[in-house]
Amino acid sequence: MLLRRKARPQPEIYVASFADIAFLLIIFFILTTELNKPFGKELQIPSGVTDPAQKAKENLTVNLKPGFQIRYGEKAQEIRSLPELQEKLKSENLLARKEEDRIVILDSSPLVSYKDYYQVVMAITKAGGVLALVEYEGGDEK
Amino acid sequence: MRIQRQKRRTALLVPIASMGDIAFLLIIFFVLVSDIKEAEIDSTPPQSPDIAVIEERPSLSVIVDKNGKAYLHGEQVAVASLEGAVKQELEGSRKKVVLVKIHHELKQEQFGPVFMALSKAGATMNLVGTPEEAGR
Repeated sequence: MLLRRKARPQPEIYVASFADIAFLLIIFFILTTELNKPFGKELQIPSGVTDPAQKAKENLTVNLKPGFQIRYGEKAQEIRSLPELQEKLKSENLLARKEEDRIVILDSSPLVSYKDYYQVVMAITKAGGVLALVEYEGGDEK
Repeated sequence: MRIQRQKRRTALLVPIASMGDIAFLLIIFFVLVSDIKEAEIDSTPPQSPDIAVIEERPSLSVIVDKNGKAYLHGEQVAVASLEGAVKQELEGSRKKVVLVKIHHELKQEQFGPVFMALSKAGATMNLVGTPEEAGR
């Protein structure tokens, strides 16, 4: 006599929804992950040439030399630290002025490091100054 | 009497059709998240207490490494041709903002021309730095 066993139901793992689950997880991580956001400040440096016929306007000048030596303003006051410069710029009350009166000319020596230059630029922009660079006739900015 | 068992075992099948989709999505994710080109360039930004987080990262970046080499969008570019290249890239864009990352040890004679080129190209610069506590 031939005995026939009852056919067992086939075991099955449902994986059709795996892609959907993975997709949802990816969306979740994209939305929640905080990527390395850069720190910095927006800076608009207007470009242009000086009209020699135009009467020179009394703009604030910051002269930067290596070793964080700063000559500030018309009287070339000596400044040796960043907090001192921040204080000076704050006292100018640049934010209350019109845009054309907020121009700060940054004249930097060729050997000044970007580390010092950056701190001065950021201090000027934070105080509300509109930065202007100096370019000498030979093309070299000094 | 010999009873013959019916051996009809079938192989257990795991459907893997969707694995491709999963892998593809993961690849898209990592491509979007990675910033490989910038990581290759050695450019440590300077510190300043007067900076904040740049909320909207500009699409165009200019990086100057510690040797003074300039990179536009991760591709090396001569400083002399930077103005034209940036102008071309910014053409048609509403916000002419460029992310500028310069190595902190560079001297003004090296980064000055980069600033001048970007200024002449009409770009608004987002100068990258690292935050520092107030006081020097």
